[in-house]
Amino acid sequence: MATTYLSPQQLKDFAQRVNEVAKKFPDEVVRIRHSFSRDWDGDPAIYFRILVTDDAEQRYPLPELTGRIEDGLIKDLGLFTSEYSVYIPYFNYRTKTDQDRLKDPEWQ
Amino acid sequence: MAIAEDLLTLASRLASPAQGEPEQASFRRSISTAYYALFHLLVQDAVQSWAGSSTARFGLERKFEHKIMKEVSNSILRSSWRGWSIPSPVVPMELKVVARVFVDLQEARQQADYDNAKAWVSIDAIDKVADAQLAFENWNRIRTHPAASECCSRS
Repeated sequence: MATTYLSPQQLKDFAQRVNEVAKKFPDEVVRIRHSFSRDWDGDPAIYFRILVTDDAEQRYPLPELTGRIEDGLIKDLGLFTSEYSVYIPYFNYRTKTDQDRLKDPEWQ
Repeated sequence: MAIAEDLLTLASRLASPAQGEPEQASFRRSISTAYYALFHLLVQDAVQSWAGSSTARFGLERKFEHKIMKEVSNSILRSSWRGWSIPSPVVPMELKVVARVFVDLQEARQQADYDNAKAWVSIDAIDKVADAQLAFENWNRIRTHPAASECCSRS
């Protein structure tokens, strides 16, 4: 089953733009990974896996931190207004310490 | 709104399990409970305005479908939602926040309840509960807004 309707070039552009958003938060974000898939009832979806610094997680209230990052992704990628709007975005967060412990390949 | 607020309180407690309590089960129940807190908040508000007996209202509450509520939420986020009144009410930003959290929590709830391969961490549960709290705050600001009333009646 196809998990994306985007061309290889679109996927490459999308990945580059995701990295650019991550760079806007140098003190808060270690990296952002993403994948195209289907959600629980089969709708096209983008899953963002956002690795945040331990310092940011302690310094900011979590809703403020995650809200700023999500707003950045939604606005800069046009997640509800562009060709990507067919995909439902889902956002998940981990701290670097969590990932160092879990070593989850999807988050590397 | 007692049940919705009680569920939110419970979700918050489960997000920070005491030492010795099962972490994975607590995080999963926290996320699932946060979703149901928001679900019941919206459903109860929707049926409040319906002039039936309390028994009939409870029956009506059971008719709300998760998938349709997700579809309505997604159409709100993509500015494609239209209410039943003409002209269609302007969608306030607060309603978009509620819609965004609802969709996100519903997916997280499915994973929390059924994906046993996924390992959850504290930030997952705390983040989802915080999102639910944000949705409660935003909903309480606009619960009587025409767009809020009409989107609930479409679910």
